[in-house]
Amino acid sequence: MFSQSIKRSYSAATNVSTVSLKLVNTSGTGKKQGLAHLLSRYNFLDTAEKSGLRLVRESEVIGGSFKSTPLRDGSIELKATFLKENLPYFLEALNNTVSKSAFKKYQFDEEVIPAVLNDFAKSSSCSQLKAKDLLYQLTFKNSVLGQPVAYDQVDSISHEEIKEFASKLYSASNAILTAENVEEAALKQFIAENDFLKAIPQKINSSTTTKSYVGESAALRFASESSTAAIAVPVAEKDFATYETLKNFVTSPLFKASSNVSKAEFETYADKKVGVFSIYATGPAPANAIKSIVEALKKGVNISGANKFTESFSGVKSNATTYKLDKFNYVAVGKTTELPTINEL
Amino acid sequence: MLRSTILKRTYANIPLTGAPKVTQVNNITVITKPSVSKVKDVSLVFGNAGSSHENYYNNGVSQVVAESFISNNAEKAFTNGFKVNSSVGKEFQTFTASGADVSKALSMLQESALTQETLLNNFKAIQDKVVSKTINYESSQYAKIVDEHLHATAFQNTPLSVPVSGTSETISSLVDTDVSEFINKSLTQNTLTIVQQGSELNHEKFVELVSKLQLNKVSNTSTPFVKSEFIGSEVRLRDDTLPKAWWSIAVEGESVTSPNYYVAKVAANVFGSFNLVEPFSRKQGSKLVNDVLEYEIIDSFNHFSKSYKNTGLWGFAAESTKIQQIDEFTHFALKQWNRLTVSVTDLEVARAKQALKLQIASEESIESLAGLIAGGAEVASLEQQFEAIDKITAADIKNWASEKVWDRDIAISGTGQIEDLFDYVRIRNDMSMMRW
Repeated sequence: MFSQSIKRSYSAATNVSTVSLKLVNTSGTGKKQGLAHLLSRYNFLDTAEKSGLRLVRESEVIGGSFKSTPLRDGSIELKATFLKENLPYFLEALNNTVSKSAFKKYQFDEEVIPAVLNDFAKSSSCSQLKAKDLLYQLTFKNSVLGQPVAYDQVDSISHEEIKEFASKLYSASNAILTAENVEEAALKQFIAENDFLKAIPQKINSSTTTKSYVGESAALRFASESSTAAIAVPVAEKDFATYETLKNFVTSPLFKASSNVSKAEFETYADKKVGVFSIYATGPAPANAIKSIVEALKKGVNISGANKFTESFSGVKSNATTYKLDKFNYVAVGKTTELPTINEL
Repeated sequence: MLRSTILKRTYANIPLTGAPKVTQVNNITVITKPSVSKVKDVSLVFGNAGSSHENYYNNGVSQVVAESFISNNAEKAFTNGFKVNSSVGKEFQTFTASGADVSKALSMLQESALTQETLLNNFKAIQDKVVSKTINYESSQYAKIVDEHLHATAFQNTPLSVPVSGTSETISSLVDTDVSEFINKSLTQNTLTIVQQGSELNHEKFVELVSKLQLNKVSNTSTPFVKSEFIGSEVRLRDDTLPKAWWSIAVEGESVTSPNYYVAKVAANVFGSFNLVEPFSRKQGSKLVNDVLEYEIIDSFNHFSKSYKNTGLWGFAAESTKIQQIDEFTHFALKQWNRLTVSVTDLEVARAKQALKLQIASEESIESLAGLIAGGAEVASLEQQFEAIDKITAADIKNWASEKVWDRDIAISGTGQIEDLFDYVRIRNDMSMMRW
C-alpha cells in the first residue's frame, strides 16, 4: 500500500496545485556539455525510498504528474502538478528526487540515454532551434550559457559524472521553491518536516555576471524545408523591462515588419544578471524578411505603444519610449548561400 | 515573464476558484467563471454557430469571420493593452478580448464582433490569409485531418461531418455576401452567451454592463436544429510518401447533456494516452500500455470522448512509424475495449477518475466551456464536476460499455502508410469476443 504520507490528506478542497523546485546552477558545468540534460532525465527514476515505477503508479492513482526541464544555464526545474489535497505526497516526491536519487547504472543505459537521444533528435530537427543554439554560442562563447541544452554526445559522460554533478547542483542553497494554489499553513508544516526543503534559504547566492559578446556572426548549412536567419542581443539586468516591451512590440501590428517575424524571444537568467533578446525569420527564403527587420530596428522604433500590453500580460512596468538596434549577433542556418551575411544587414 | 521576480522563496497562496454565477438578462445568458488568472477574459459565445452550421459549399466561412475579427482589431487592442482571439468549434464560435479591464473589453467586443460591417472589412486580404493558412494546415496537420475525417465518415451527410478548419478550395470560392449571410444566420442574439473569466470579478456589475449593450445590429432569427446521426463506416487516404501512419477508430459516444457524459470520459481515461519515447509514459499502469510495450508496437495513442449537442464520439487516435504493426495495436486496443464490458477493475476506474479530474482542472478553457454551453449543458463548478466523477463505479462503466461499446459499429479513418490497417469487417469483428 501507499506510504503514510498519502493518507494524510488535510483538505477536501478540489483544485489543481503546482509546486516547482528550481535548482539554480551557480557554479557552471565545467568543460562537459549536456550534464543538466542527462541529470534531468534521471529525475523521478529510482530513489532510496521507492522505485520510479512505484512513483508513477502511485501518482496516477492519486492524480498527479511530474516534469523535469533542463535549462540553458545548467539549472533544472522540477515541477509537480496534482490535485490539491495531495500536497504532502508530491512535496515528498520532489524532496526524494533531489536528495535521495539512486542513479542506477542500468537505468542510465536503458532509460536515460534513449530519452536523451530522442530529445536531441527533436532539438536538431529544425533550423530555428539550431539557430537558437548557435546564437547562444556566439553570445556566450565557452561559458555554460553558450552550450546547447540537449546533450550532443560530443563529450563522453558516465553516470558517475552525472552523480557528481547532482551532488553539486542538488543543494538546498541553490533551490527556489514556488508553489501555486496550495494552502500556505499546510505547505509550511510539511516543509518544516522535510530536511532538504527546510534548508532552502530566503535568497540564493547569485553567481557572477556572465561575460557576453556582441557583433559576431556564423553560418551553418542545414538540410531542411525552411531556413532561419536570426539576430540576438545580450541584455543587462537594468534593461530587462525595455526588452520585454520590445519583444511584445516586434510581434504586434504596430511594428511594420511584424509579418516577417517568425518568433521573438526574451529569456532572462536573473542570477547571472544577463538576458538574451532574439528575433527569428524562418521560411523557405527568409533573406528579405531578416533584412527588413534589421533595417527597421536600426532606424529606431517607438515602442511606447507596447507598454500597456506589457504591463497586462508580462506583469512588467516599463517606461520605454524608443529603441534603436546597435550591435547584434547574427546567424544563418539552412541554405546559407541564399541568406545575407552580417555585413549585408 | 521576468524571472528576477521569483528569485526568492515564494508562497503564492491563491484561493480556491468558486462556483460560476449565471444570470439571464435581455435574453442573453451572462456567466461569471472565477479562475486564478490575473488577466480577465470576456468572451461572446455563439451556441448556434461553428462548422456544423456551415455546409459543404461555404465551409470555412467561420474561420474567415474569426480571422477578420482578429486582424481588424489587433492593432487597436494591442495599444490598449488587450489581446483579441476567436475560436471556431463544431457547434460554437467564440470572440474573446483579454486584458485588465472587463468593461473596456466588453465595449471593444460590441464595436467589433457585434457589428457586422467591421467583420466584413478587408474581406479579400483576410480571405487570402485564411486560404494560405489552410493550405499549410492541409499539408502538415495529419493527426487533426484524421480527426476531421473521422467525424466526416461517422456523421456523413449530417451537420457534424463538416470540418472545422474549412478547406482551401471552399474558402477561396467565398464571396463577402456568404459571410454576411452566415453572420445573420448563425451569430444571433438568441444564442448568445457572454462569459467573463478571471480573478476578483464582480458578477452583478458585469450583468449591468451587458444589459446596456446595444444589440440592434445583431440579428435575432432562429434556425431549427438538425440532428447528426452516427453510421458505422470508414474513410482512408493512403499516402506512402508520408513518414508514418495516422489512424483513428471510434464508436458513437455521449452528448454533453447525457447522464453518462462523465462515464464515457472516465472510460476513455482507463486507457488514457501513451508516448513510447517518454519513460514516465512507459511506466503507466494501464493494461493496454502493458500489451503494447513488450514489442513496442506503437509510437503514441490517445483515447478521447468528444461530446456534442445530440451525440458524440468515443475512441482512440494513434500515430506510428511501425507501419507493419498497425493491425496488432488495433487488435489489442479493441480487445481492451471488450474488457470495459466484462472485466474492468475498481483500481483501473479509480486511476481513470483521478486522471480525468486532473485533466479537467488543468485544461479549463473558453473552448471547453463553449462546447458545453453550445450543447446545452449546465455550467458546473469544478467541485460539482468532481462530485459527479467520484460517484462513478466499475459497474457503471461496465453497464455503459455493454450498451455503447460492445459489438457496436465503428467509424474508421486513416492517412499515411496505412496498408496494414485491416478492412472494416475484420476490425469490426474485434468489437466483441466469443469467450468471457
